[in-house]
Amino acid sequence: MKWTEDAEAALDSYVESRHREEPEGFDRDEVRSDLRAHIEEELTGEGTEIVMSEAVGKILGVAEADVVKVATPEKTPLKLRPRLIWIFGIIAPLVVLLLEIFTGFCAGVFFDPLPSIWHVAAVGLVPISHWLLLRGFQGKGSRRAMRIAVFLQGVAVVIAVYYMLLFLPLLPFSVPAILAWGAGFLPIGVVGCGWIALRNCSLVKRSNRENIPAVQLRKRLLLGGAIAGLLGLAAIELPKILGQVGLNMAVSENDDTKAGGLSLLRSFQPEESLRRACYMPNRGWTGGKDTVGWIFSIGRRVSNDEAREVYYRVTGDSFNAHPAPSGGLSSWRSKSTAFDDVLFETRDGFDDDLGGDNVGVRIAGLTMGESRIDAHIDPVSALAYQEWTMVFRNASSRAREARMQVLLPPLGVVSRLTLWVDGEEREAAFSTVSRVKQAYQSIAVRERRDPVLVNVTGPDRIMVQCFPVPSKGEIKIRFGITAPLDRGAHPGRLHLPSLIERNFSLGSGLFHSLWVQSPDPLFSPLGRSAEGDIEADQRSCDGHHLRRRLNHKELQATTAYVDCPGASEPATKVACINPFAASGETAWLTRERISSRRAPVTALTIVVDGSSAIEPLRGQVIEALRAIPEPNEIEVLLATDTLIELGRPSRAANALRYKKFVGGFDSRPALAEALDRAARKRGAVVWLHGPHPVTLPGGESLAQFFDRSPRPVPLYAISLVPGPDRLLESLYRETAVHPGERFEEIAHDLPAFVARLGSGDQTTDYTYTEAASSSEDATPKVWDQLARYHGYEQVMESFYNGGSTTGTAELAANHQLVTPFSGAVVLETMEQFKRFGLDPADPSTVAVIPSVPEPSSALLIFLSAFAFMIRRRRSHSSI
Amino acid sequence: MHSSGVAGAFENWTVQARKGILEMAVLTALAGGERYGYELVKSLVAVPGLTVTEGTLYPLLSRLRQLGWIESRLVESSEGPARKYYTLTSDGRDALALMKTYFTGVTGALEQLQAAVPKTTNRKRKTS
Repeated sequence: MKWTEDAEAALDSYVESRHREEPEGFDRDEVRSDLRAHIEEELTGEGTEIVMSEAVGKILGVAEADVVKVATPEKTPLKLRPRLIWIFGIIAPLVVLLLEIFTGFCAGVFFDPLPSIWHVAAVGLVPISHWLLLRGFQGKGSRRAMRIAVFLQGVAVVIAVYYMLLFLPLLPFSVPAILAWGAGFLPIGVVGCGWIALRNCSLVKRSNRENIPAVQLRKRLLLGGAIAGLLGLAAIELPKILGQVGLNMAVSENDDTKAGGLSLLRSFQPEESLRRACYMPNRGWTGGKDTVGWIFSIGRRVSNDEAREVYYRVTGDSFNAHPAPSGGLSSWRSKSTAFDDVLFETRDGFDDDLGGDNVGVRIAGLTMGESRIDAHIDPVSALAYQEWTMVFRNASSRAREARMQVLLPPLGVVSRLTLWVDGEEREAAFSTVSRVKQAYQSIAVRERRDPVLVNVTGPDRIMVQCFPVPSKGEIKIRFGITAPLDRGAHPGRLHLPSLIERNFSLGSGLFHSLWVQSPDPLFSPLGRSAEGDIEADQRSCDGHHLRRRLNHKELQATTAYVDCPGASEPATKVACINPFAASGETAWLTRERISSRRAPVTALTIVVDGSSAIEPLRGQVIEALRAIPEPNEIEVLLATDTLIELGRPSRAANALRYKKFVGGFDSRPALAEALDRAARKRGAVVWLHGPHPVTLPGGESLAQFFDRSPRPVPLYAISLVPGPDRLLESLYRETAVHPGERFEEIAHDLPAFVARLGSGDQTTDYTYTEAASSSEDATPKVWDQLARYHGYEQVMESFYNGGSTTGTAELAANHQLVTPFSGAVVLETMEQFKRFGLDPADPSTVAVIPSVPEPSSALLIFLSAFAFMIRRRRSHSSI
Repeated sequence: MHSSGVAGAFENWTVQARKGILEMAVLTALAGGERYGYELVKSLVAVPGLTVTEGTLYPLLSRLRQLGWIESRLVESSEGPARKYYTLTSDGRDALALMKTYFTGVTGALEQLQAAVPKTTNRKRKTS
């Protein structure tokens, strides 16, 4: 026999009321079972198949007032009003949900109410629960279904009320918006749904009033559902709330609040929320934030720059080292509507950093599609020339600018820049930084044509920009780097360039194709070639070459180098034709090697950057500190939010065992203290650091020290983790700062480096002489990179000594070099070059990768002389 | 006001009085031997003076079973679910005997009191 929901409830109610009368008197379950059997037998006799509540009441004699005392309801029951539930409780939220999913209207204008699939699921639950509850009230579902519906209603009311409160402030604008534009139903729908959810809760509490236990059960289910809803909502929003609270605190003017915010964020590490704040566009009324971000932005909006600084201070990393967090529904919506460039980080289609000095956000759809590095090592001159060719592809529907910072080999200089226009190579013009930037910005940003620009940003760091990478198209560029082989601990070693900051992704399956050649044998710890397990280098009739396919990680690694042992002892004296000699001047340049010994460092202060970036290397740093000989006067400082004195290296090594590096810190206070101490002891400072991707306030204090200190204190800046470094860039001009040292293995290289400083290591220097005629026949004749690099050394000497900008820039441009004074720009047409007073390099004079073995000296001289003659014919200067 | 107050008080009195009488009635109904629960309840409901419903009797049966005065057993039925049969235990018989003795004594005492009450006293009360 089937019992209706109400009949079951009536039976429960009766048994419960009797039990309240006589709590110790009888077994409740037994009585319920007996009564149920009795009622069924009674009704079987009547031929009834469904047990209704009325029949139960009649059989049980609930009218027997002296026995059954049922509490009287306090309020009159609400009417169900199914139509109202259908309109506002089911249809309205469904329409609003679908509308927002497919159009993103609210996300575009106010805030994103559905930032994740979880939000969609939560909102979708509301109409479902309303529908289930309506069915239950109409007696269409089972008792179990009704209980589920009541529980879900508890969950739904939390979600519906949360969204109702969010949209309530927008409600006053709805009516005028509807009248004016016919739009604005969104807040009405959401608020109406919230009201229905609350009303449904009242229906649940007031229905079946004569049935107290059933109502109590439903109240408990409703409460349970509401608690579950709150927990679910908290799970979705809490990380964002913590992230936003921490972020707002971290940008406070109050130092204590700021420290508290950073501490909170470092504890919870809401990396994705912070990255979202870094990438979120600043324009617009709300900036398209999610709900939590929108609420917190009402009081004070955190700018991108502020968020990026906080991101560094919390994670110790650069925000654009990672792509924008998944836009969730926004990304899907953008793709599904074919507006594929209207992605998360560039929602409004603008690129804030276009033509600027910052690499900026990762641009969706922009990828590096191909990469090849060709290099030639000349063991006689101990110089190398590398060319890095890159192809960028743009999958979006808007032209994009590719920007990157490249870490050059130590003391390297960009000596060539090429852009492919319509399949033809166009060489760069070299001129003053301001002029090439002006040309680039004018052509790229305003005229949106094809330029590429390279500038120096810091020691061994350049910025490369090219625009436009056309929509659904590609752009190909190449830049050449002239660099000396290592003269220090690893003579004959050539470091490869690497990307330290970029606004593009790496194409799937991208590898860097490496070809290094030399007349002498080559060795490298880099991965094997694609062909399989082959020798470290290959010998052929043309000399030696080494070919590798490197993934991005391998190119970024400290092992990204090639050793040419034959170059470890360069020729004492070499000469070359100087193709850059001024008209009428001598054309032969001779370089002579001299050895000198640096004064030993008697006192050393080691500053360890306590940022998260160093954490993976903490063990190696500890090992290195332990290996440093104790007799030296060495002390260690740890740079965190506060300066921590760690004492002597062995003691510091022990202390660091228990110190986890979390966050990103400003190393300047520790450096200032270290420099002061070193100045008093006539010592030096070694700074082991990670990236400093943001410009932190208060940058003048260190510069002041270097400007005013009567005795220059050498600062050896050793970057343990490659990455953007604004702090190092700010120290570029300081002669006392030595950034070139590269450690492959800290545990070994740091003690060796300290030992070299302590003993006063021998260094290799060169002197240059120029002559009208060829030097002695015995002097080896080498390539014109010697003259190019000599020009670079002259420029840098002038740079450090504060020489004339114009004269030095002319010198740099004349040698086709990108230096602190000069940049390189490739424009699309000669007309554009002329308009900006620029003269592109003659293709016959630019640096090239020579064949192996090198051409005979006679041929070399002939080629150089030919290039020189052509150059002389070019009467006007490009400056 | 006066009459409704008396009616209310009387209702309470019947509730108290009937509790004991109902127990005795159930035990008396089972004194003749085992009985099917449904039939037992229906027979008791049918007694005019008891004014009892099924809803009152099942809790009572449960309570008597807990007291150990009656016991029940399930018997499979070809017409539907298993049927519950009740029977009196020896404690129940003793209890019933005591109840009867007490009830008889109380009834006799009440009759004696009725016989001893002077008729004048009743008259005086009515006039006052």
